[in-house]
Amino acid sequence: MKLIIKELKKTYGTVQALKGITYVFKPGIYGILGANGAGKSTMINLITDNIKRDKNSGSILYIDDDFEGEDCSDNKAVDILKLGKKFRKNIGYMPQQQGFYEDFSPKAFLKYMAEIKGVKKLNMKEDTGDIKGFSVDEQINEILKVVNLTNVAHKKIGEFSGGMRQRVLLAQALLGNPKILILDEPTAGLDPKERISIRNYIAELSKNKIILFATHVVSDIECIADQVILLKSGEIIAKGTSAELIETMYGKVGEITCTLDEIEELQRKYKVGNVRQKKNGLVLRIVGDELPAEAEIVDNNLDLEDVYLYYFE
Amino acid sequence: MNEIKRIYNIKTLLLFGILLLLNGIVIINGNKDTNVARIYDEMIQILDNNYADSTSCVESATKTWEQYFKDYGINSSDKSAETLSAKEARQLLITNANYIDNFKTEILKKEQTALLYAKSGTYKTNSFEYMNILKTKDDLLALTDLDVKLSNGIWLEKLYQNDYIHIYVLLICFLTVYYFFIERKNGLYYIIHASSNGRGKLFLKRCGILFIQSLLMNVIFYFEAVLLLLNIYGGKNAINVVAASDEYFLLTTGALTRIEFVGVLVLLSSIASTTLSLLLWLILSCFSNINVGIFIYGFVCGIDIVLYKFISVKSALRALRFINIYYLFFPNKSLGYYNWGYSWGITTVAVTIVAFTLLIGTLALIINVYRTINQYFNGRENVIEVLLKKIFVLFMRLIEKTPNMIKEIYKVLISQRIGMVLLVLIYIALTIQPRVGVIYDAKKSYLSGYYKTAEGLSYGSKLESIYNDYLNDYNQFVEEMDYSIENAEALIENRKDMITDIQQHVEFVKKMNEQGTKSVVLKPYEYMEAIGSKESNNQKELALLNVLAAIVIACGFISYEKKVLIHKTILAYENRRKWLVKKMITNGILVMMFACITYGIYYYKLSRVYHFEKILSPLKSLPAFSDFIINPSIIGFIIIDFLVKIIIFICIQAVVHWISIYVKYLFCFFGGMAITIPQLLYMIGFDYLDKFCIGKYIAFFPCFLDGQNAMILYCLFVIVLFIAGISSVIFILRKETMDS
Repeated sequence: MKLIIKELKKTYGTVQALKGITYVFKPGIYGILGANGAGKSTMINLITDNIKRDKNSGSILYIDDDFEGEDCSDNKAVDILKLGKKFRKNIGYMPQQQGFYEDFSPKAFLKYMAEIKGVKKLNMKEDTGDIKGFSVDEQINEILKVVNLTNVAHKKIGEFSGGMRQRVLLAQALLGNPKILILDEPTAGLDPKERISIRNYIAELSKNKIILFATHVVSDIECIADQVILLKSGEIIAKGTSAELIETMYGKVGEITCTLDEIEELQRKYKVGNVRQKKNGLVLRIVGDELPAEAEIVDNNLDLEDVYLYYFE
Repeated sequence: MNEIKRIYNIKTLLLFGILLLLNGIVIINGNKDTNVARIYDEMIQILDNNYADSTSCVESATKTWEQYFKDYGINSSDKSAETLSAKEARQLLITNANYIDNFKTEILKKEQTALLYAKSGTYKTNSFEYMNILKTKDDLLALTDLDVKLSNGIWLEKLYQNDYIHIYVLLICFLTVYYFFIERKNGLYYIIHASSNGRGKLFLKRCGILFIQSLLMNVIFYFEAVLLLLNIYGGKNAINVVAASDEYFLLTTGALTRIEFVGVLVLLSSIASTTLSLLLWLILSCFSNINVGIFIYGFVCGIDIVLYKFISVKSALRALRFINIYYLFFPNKSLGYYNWGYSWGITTVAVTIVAFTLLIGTLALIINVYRTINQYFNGRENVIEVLLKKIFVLFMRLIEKTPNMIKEIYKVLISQRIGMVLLVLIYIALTIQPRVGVIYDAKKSYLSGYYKTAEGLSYGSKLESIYNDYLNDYNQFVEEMDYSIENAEALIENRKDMITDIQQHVEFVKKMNEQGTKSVVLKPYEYMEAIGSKESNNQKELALLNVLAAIVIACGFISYEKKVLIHKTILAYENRRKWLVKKMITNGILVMMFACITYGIYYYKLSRVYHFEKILSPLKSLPAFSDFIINPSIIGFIIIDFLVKIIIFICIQAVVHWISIYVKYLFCFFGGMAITIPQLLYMIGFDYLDKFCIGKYIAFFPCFLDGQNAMILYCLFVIVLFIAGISSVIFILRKETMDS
C-alpha cells in the first residue's frame, strides 16, 4: 500500500499554499510538523478531496494490494480522483476543527458516520486462529471503549468537554478500521493522561496503516512517528526519522548561562528555546547555525523540539 | 449604554423590523374586505359636515344616506356589489343612530330589567348569578350620563380584536431576556459576576431596559396598528369620542374615549409583557441550561392555557380559568366585560388580571433580585434537568437504532430547530379559513333545481326531457303571468334568462358528448367557488406557506454542516454522494409531509363548507374546463394538481440546496426568502405585484381564472423551475467536494 504525492501544488488566489510537494507514504506513522499556514491542512484537504485540485498541479496516487495484489510498484498507482469511492473507503479523517451534531449522542453520531463511511461487518482473526465477525454495533462499542466514552455513549455531545469531543472525533476516524488515518491535531484539548493514552493507541494502530499525524506539539510525534516531515511555506524543508533529524542538529544547539537582563538581548540575536533556572543564574537553550562564543554546545540531550525551533522560529 | 448596544444588536433589530412588517401585513391582509366600512365612513363625514344639527341622530342618518345615494346615483333595486355594500352601510348607520338616540333610555331599561331579574327570586341572594346581575346593573347605571356620539369606531373594534400585536412585543422581550443569559453560554458569567458593577447595578440596568423596552415596543406596535386601521377604516376625527358610542364597547370601555382605551390597551399589554418577561427571567435563572429553561417555561404556560381552555366558567375550579396566564399572552381578552367570582365575592376579569399580573410580576422581580445578587451560577443541574437528561438518553437509545434517514429528520427538526418554525407555519395554515360557501340568489336557486334533477346525466333523451319540462314550465309561466303587476316584464325576463342558461348547459353537455368527451350535468357553483375567486387568496397563501417551509427546511442542506464544521469530515468518506442524496430525499419527505398536513387540513375544511357530492365526475363537466387539455375526474384533477405542487416545492428546495453550498446558513435563508417578497408586499396592499406572487403560480387556479396569458406564465414558471430543480440536483451530485 502506498500513497504517493507528486509535485503537488495548490494556489489560493495569488498565494501558493503548496509549492510542488513530493512524497511517498507507506505503512507507518508520519508526523507532519509545521507552523500555521505551512500547508498541512491544504495537503490533508487535497488527500481527502475536500478541496479541488488545480489543473496540472501534480497528483496524488494510491496503490493498494486489494486491487493490485502484491504488486505495489509506483507505476501501477492510480490517481485518487479516478479511484473515487474506492480510495475514500480506506480513509479515516479527524479534522482540526471540532465539528459535531451537538444534539446527537456519541453512539448515534458514530452510527451516522458509520453509514457514511460504508462501514460493514468486520471479520478479524482471533488469537486462537478463528475468524470472528464484528457487527457495526460491536465495532462502535469497541471504539467507544478505546476512547474511554462508553459511560457517556448515550449522552448529548453538546454537553461534553473539549477533550471528550476530541475523543468522539477520533472514534469516528477509527471507525471501519481504515487503512489511511489522517489526524489533524488529534491531541488538542486533551489532558496529559489522555494525550499519552491516545498517542500510544495510535502507535499500536500503525501496523499496515498509513497514519498522517499533523501537529504543532512536537512531543506527540517524537516517540511514535516513523518519519517526520517538516512543512514550511508550502514546501517540505526537512524529512526523516526523529533520530535522523535530531542528528542534523549536532553542533547547532548550545546553552548559555545569563542574567534576566541579558535574555532580551540574546532573544533578539538568536533562536532561543527553553529557559531553566540554576543556582548560578538562568540557563538559556539557543539553536542556530551560529551560536554565541560563550555558549556550551549540547550534543547528547537533543530532541525534536530543537529541530522545530531551528526551522520554524 | 453598553448593555443596550449589546442587546439591540443586528439580530434584535432585524427581528424588530420583521415583526413590524409582519404586524402591518397581518393588519392589512386581515382587513381587505372594507367596502361597507369605507362607505360608512363617507356617510359619517357627510353627516358631520351637513346634518350635525338635526334634532335626532336617526334624522341626520336618514338625511345622510339619502344624500349619499343621490350623490353616487345608487338605485336600491340594483343588485351590484357596490349597491349592496351601500345598503349594508346604510343599515349600520341607522342602527348606530338608533343606539345613540336611545342610549340613556336603553340603559335605564336594561337596568330596570336587571333589577326585576334580581328581585324575581330566580337566583339565591348570595349566588354568583344574583350578584352578577346587581353588579351589571350598577355598572350600567354609571354609564347613563356618557356623552355618546354617532361616529366611526370600527378601527377600534378591529384593534381590540387583534390578538397578535402583543405576541410580537413578547417575542422581542423574550429575546432580550435570552440575551441576559448569553454570558453563561460564552463563559463571561464569572468575569461579569466578579466585577464591581456586575451584580446589583447590572440587574437594575437590565430591569430598566426590560421595562422601558416593553412599554416602547407596545407603543410602537399599537401605534402602527392604529395608523393602519385608521387609514383603512377611517374615523380619525372621532378618536376623542367616548368609545361606548359603539354598542360593541358598552360596558367594556366605561367612560373612556377611544384613544384613552388604546392607552389602556398599551398599558395593560406593557404590564403583561413585562411580567411574562420577568417570569421567563426567573425560570431561566433556575436552570443551568437555558434551552431547558425555555422549554419548561413554554410547558408551564402551555399547561396553564390548557386549563383556561378546558375549565368551564361555571366550574368550581373557575378561579384557575380567570386567574390564568392566558390573559397575559392575550391581554385584550381580559378587557371584555366578564364578571366572575364565588358566593363571597365578584369582580371583573380585567381587575383580576391586573391584580394577578402586578402580584406575580412583583414576586418575580423580588426573587430575581435575590437570585441575581446573592446566588452563584455553578452549572449544577436541578431535578427537572436531570430528569430531562434521562429522557434524552432514552430517546437517544431509540435514535441510535434508526437508519440515517430518521437521524436526518431528527437533525433538521430538532438540531436545526426547524421543527418549531414548521409548527408556527402549520399554525398559520390552520388560521386560513374557507369563505362562507355558496350564497344562493334567486337565479342560482332555480338553476339548482335543474342541476339536482339532471345531475350525473350525459346528453340523451332523459336530459332532453328534463330540459323540455323546464321549457314547458317557462311557457306556462309566461302564459299565466298577470301583466297588470308592476314587475311583470322583469319577472319574465328573469325567467327567460334562467331557461337560457339551462338550454346553454344542455347544449354544452351535448357538444362535449358529441366530441367524445366525458361530460355530465354537474352543479358547478360549489366547485367553481372552491377553486375560484373566493378561495384564490387562500390558495395563494397556502402555497406561500409551503414555499416558506421548503426554504426553511432546505437552507441548512450543506450550510448547517458547514456551520457545525462537520462537512469536511463527511465529504472525505466513501458514501458522501449517498449522504447527499439521502439528505435531499429526507428534505423532500419533510416538504411532502408539510404539504400533506397543510393542504389536507385546508381541503378538509373546504369540504365542510362546500359539499362536493359528485367529485368523481369528469372534470370537463365544469364548463370552465371545457378546453382543458386533460379530463380526469375532479378528484383526480385535485390530486394531480397537488402532486404538481409538491414537485414545485421540491424543485424550489433543490435550488435552495444548491445555494446552501455557497453561502452561510442565514444568507441562504434570506436568499431563499427573496422569492416570497413580492407576495408579502402584495399581501400588504401592493396589488400590482399580483403577477409576481410565487403563490399564484403554484396555486394554479388563480392563473387558470386569470386567462390564457396567466396560464402561459404558469406553464413557463413550472418548466423553468423544473429545469432549475433538476439542474441543481445534478450540480450538487457532481460537485461533491463543496470547496466553495
